[in-house]
Amino acid sequence: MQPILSVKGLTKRFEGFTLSNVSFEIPPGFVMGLVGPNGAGKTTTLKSVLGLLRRDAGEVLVSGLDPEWDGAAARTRIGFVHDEPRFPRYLTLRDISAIISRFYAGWNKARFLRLMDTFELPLRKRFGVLSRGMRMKFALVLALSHDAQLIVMDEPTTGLDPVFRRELLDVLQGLLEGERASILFSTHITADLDRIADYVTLLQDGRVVFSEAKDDILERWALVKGARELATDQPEHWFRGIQVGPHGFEAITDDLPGVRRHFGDAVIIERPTLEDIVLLTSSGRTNA
Amino acid sequence: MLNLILKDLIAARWFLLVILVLYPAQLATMTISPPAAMVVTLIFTSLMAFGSLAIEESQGTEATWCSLPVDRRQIVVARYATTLLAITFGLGISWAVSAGTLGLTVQSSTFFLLTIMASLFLPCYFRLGLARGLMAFAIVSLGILVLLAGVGALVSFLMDGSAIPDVPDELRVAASEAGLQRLAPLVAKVLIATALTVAGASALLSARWYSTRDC
Repeated sequence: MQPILSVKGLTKRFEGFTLSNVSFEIPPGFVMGLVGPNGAGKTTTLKSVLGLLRRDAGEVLVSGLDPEWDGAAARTRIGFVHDEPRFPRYLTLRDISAIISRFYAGWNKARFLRLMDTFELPLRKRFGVLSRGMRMKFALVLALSHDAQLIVMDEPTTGLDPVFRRELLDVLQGLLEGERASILFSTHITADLDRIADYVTLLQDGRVVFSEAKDDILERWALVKGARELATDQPEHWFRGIQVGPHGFEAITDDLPGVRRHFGDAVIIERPTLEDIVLLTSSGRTNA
Repeated sequence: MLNLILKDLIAARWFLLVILVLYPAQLATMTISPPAAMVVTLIFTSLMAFGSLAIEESQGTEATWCSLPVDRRQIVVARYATTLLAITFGLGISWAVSAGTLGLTVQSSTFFLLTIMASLFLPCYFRLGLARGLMAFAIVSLGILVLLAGVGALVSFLMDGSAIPDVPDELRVAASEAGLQRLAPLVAKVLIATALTVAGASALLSARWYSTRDC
């Protein structure tokens, strides 16, 4: 089956930062979480998918179309939610939707009104008076109202309170049940990934650490805890990230058989959370 | 492309509404003084032409519009169309309110001036964004003004030195008031055609530059 989104060797150079050789794919109907610390390259990747940035190398295809060169055709298939949704502040949500709807042949007005109702968004309110959460919801409603095949969201839950965040994710998950749309969303809140992601791509310093199905990641990776002195024994050989404290170390590995062979019963091995993986791989080697 | 023009007009509608109230009122009080009416025309037409761009920039909506299913080329063409429409509309109001006091030559000269300004500014904007684009535009404009002043000074120097032959009688007649009035429609056509040609070339350059710029 042709992937909805295929990114191969994506490279984009800025002064002081390079997104390097990023590759991943999203099959139809699945959710890919793009995770990583601030400055890892998440927004650069998403903007490249939307065709807003001109890449230096690599290939991006949305349903077989390159958003850089077949921009209009590719973006017809994409619903977008920027990290800070920006629309004319003095216009009402009704006015904005009237503007946006004209750009999409597949605009579904009934669905738009239903979603506005679901999210309790008042059509008469001006965009400028909405809270960040409401703005995010409105952008999401617009993204979901034109039968997009791919929804691209840049940190949609950042800055939202936990209740609101959960509500947003629940509604999103509910909306996608039975849909063919795929979602690519970036976040640095790993709990979001636990809730809705099928695949996870971890970016760090502009490079992909891994891009796999979430269940495979949790299956393959392990959290290792042990005495401090064990951490001095070539940790980089066994671990993808390690944090050494006064009473011992905590490390993350994707080579569980190797760790078992080398350390035996001297260490405790636990199933990691995505947060453990992200935090420890981001920390490299640190001494607390 | 029509959707993009409509988007610009809707997004700036309050601003345009305020101008549409103030502009004719201000102009109506200035009809007795053509130079003042021209200044008012120039100011308000410029506001109409470039206001929507400034509003868009202040609200940071560029990335939003670029994320819609439109090509960069369409965005550029729509921006030029909106600007030219605003200039034409602004001058139309001036013509209607001042009952032609300013004359065809002045109106076409204003169209020429504003269109040339837009043709210089928009490529800078599409290449560098508003802030850096304005700086580049200021430098380019200053450079052109200095160049024109230099050419003027050179011509003046050469004429003082009788380096230029006497002006033929036909041109003297043409330069007289009656001659100018007779030539006004032709001058207007030449000015408008020149301005539109420059705007077309400028749009091509803008499209080329904007297609390679990050949003």
